[in-house]
Amino acid sequence: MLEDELLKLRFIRGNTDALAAIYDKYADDLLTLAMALLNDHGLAEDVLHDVFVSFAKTATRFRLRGSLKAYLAKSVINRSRDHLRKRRHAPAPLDPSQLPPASDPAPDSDILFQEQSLRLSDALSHLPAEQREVVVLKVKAGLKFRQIAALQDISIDAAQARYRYGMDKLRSLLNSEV
Amino acid sequence: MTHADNITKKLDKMNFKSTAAMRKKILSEASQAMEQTINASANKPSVGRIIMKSNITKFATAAVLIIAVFIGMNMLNGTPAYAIEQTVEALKGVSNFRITMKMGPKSVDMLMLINQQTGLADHIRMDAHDSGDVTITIPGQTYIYNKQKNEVTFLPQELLRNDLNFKDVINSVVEQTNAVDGRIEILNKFSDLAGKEVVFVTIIRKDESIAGQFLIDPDTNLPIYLGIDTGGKLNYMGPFEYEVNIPEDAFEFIIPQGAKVTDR
Repeated sequence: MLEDELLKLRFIRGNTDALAAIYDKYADDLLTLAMALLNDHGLAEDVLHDVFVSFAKTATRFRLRGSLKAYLAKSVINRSRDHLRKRRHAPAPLDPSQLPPASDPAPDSDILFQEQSLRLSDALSHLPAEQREVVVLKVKAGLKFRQIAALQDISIDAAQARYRYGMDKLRSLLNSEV
Repeated sequence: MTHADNITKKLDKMNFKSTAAMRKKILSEASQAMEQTINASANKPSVGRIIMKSNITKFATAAVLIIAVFIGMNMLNGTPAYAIEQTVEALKGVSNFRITMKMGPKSVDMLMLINQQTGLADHIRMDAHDSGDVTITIPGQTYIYNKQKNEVTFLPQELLRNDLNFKDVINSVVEQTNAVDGRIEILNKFSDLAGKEVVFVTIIRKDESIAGQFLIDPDTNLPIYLGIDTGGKLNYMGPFEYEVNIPEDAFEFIIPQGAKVTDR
């Protein structure tokens, strides 16, 4: 926490090393979050790119009392939502036949991944968008149900219900793969 | 371990990594954007100069800035502004106020809640009378309703937060005070605007022109009008009404029927 406060201070002063340190600390988590929401390498990379470029533009006027990680995660969520809205349908699941071997990253992808992560991302993409978002926000972004409810403009009970339904469906999807 | 725990664990391990090439590309573009922002910021007008803008939104922002300065004046120990410490004390007890600002045919109602711990106006609602537009900003969120387009825009941050940072505002005021040679004139006299005798607190520049003026109600010690120099003429906003009744839904984000919603 203190480390983040120092990073924020240096970032506000326009220190590019601080920007790089923030990237190194959170980029993978944010990329994973984007992948979990979008299940699309290209879009996830675009989201990470856009989030950091926009974030960099806030230097000198950036003020944040809360968690830097939560702020960046919310930026990823908002941009992912934009992409999902543009697509106007659930993200297309990856064709399993196109999946690379576990240890072999896709040749033109700038993302390193494991087969297990891809399988999960694929399974998540089969959930209804609102359930997928709750599951991802809860587990990957570490948000509380109260925060998720506010983001989705629903009650806390509804957020918890979406989480339960999402987890149930995810379990049956993953079990059926075995 | 339950199934749910098992899946949570799997999800927890789900991990995608950015490559060195991606890092290089993103950081290169982000650093460039950062430098451009810093350069633009260096050329940006000071808070004092922003106040001189005539655009109604800027005008509203200017009002917020000045109010923030007033509320924050207890931090200005040692500066000329501290001479009006009775007003500073009175303002410490303010939990909300409403102000109407007029600029030509346009007028905006602003309602503000003051966080008693931080002194910041952290809940602000602006209603534009002519357009019907509404802007509500609360910690972490802003709602903007454009009536003509029937469009609601949500922003994941406070609208005026940066400008409301006391450190920056006070620095700017101190700069301004230096620029105007720190002269603040305090005078009791009748005000046509207020219809009674009030305390005029006037900030006077080195060239003897007036930069701004507060009209203080001597009964309450609170500002009731604020005048800002707009090209040689003081443009007054007010009256300020304190401790007003706030409608329950004043800071609720209501999406009108059929409105397009944009989440940024």
